[in-house]
Amino acid sequence: MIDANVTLEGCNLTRSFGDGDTRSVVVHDVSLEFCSGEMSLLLGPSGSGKTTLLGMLSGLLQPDEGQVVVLGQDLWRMSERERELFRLHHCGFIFQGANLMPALTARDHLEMVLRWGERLPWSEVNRRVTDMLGLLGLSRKGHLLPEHLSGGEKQRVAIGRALIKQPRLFFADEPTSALDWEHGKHVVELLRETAHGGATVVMVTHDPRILNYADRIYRLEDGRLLGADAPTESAVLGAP
Amino acid sequence: MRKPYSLKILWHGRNRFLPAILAVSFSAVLIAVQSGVLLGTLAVTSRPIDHASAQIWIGIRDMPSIELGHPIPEAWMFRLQAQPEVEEVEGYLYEFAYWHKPGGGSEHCCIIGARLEGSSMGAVNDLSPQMRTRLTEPGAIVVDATDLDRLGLKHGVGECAEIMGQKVRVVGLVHGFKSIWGPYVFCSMETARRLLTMYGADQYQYILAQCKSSADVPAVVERLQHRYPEMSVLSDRDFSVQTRLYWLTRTRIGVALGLTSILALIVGLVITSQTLYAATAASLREYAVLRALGLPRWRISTLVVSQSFWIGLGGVSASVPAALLLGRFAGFVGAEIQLPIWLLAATIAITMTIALVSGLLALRSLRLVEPANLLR
Ligand SMILES: Nc1ncnc2c1ncn2[C@@H]1O[C@H](COP(=O)(O)OP(=O)(O)OP(=O)(O)O)[C@@H](O)[C@H]1O
Ligand SMILES: [Mg+2]
Repeated sequence: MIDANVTLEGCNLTRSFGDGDTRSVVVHDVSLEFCSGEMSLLLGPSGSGKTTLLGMLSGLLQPDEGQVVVLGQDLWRMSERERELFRLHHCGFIFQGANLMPALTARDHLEMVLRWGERLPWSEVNRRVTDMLGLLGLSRKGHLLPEHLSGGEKQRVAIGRALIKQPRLFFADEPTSALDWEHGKHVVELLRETAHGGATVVMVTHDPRILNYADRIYRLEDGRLLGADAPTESAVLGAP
Repeated sequence: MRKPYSLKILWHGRNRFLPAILAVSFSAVLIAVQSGVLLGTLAVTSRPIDHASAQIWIGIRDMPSIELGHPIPEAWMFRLQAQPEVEEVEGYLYEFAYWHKPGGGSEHCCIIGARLEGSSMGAVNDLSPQMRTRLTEPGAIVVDATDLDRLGLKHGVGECAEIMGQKVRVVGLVHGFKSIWGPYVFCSMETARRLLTMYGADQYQYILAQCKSSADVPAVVERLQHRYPEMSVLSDRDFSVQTRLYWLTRTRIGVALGLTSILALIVGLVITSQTLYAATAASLREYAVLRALGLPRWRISTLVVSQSFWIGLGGVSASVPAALLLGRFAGFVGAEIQLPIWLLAATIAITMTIALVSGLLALRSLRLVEPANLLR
């Protein structure tokens, strides 16, 4: 853990879905914090509210109550437009699927973020995309369409797309669930390197093998936080 | 050159987009060919003006088109001759009459009587020198080859019929004068006067003039019109346009054309926008990731509208050669289709606009792009 500063903080976060009889509180009064330079995990059984919590922390899902302070700003006090710009400048995302556009090559996907998000000149875009493809181990696959990439390669393109703008915060919702461990490990290692390079990485996962890579672990059950663990103990505790 | 993302998307989904491209292309062809047929039809109404060498046409006041003139006094010729720029002046007859077919039955026809000598300003240039010589015989006429049937004739040249009780004889055939209201009958001024007995010897329907330099025409037209409000003074070009516009507005063929064109455009619009809508709706998750990453909404909108641009361009590029081919084909079967550059350009502009509008309509599917949905 290098230079750990709290960059992301959730205070008393609560979120429910539905009205009246069908209303159910999915995340209940959760407070937690994340530091730069760390890869943190959100663990818990299916339906415990991990994804919902991640959505609130990352500015995609409005909490019913509570506050998210990120890089010193109150995320849910911002206007929609400000939040969008905040995500553009600071947040990377990967979701369960890679969600790549079938018509665009791996390279196109990375370029698009720089061209559309940061309006960089082509020479700069090319350099950064080539570097990123190298980092992802996809140097020779940049020209391929998603249909010609393996599942792991697709997920790596999705990660590259989120990483290429060098975000300070990185949110991942079960990025490895569709991958075998060989590919999953590569993805996790990439994210850990990102964290250790100074970013704040928050990952939702089911996979116990990832525990060993984590710097901080939060456990959720029925929408309530069970507590934060040190990584090694939790790995031991989490082991069957 | 880098291929734009929108073009890549279109190419990758070409099977899905093909119907839209064909629909756009179909409406473009329909508009171009229909307008071309209309132009071709209207062109025949002004062809006696367009194929004559007169630069200035004088007729009765407020004549809307060439077949709606009235007898005017020969004395008006002097008014023209008094203009220093005017070089030559001559009279012209244009009148409807009854044609009695040799085998019985009658038909409207339109008699054009003009001077036939070498420098004639009224005779259409389709009349060859031999025809002009033969037309000097009394009762000699020339008709359009495609009107023979309508006139009750078999071969044309050598056959006889009657106009207003006077015998006429066909001495030659021209092409491209198949009129919409009644066959043209070209003859000499003398023959015309014999057939059209309602005209006094000192009356014409039009007086034609030529200037020493064509650059003088506008000034002469303006001066005469100003000085003699009881006359219509028109340059050949203005008279030609006025005649065609009159037929366009009076006959309502323009209305029919407009309606079918609008129908074709609506079909193109609906198919294109639905195709784009479906394609976009199928990519909502992909677009949602871009939104989650903070890429602006207008970029995604532009991506969709650009796809409609390429669909339009594809459709239009297919339609231009198709329309030109159809025009050629129509020429073979005797119909006249005119496809001037401006018509093709207008068709392209209209079709591209429709394609872009369908892209804008398809944008409503982007309202469903919601990054929070990626969390499920
Ligand atoms: N938009 C929604 N509308 C209604 N209910 C929802 C919505 N989103 C989530 N829920 C409910 O909230 C509960 C928690 O969902 P969430 O996706 O946060 O769980 P999770 O911990 O990520 O589970 P998993 O490990 O299966 O992904 C679930 O019971 C789910 O049905
Ligand atoms: Mg989940």
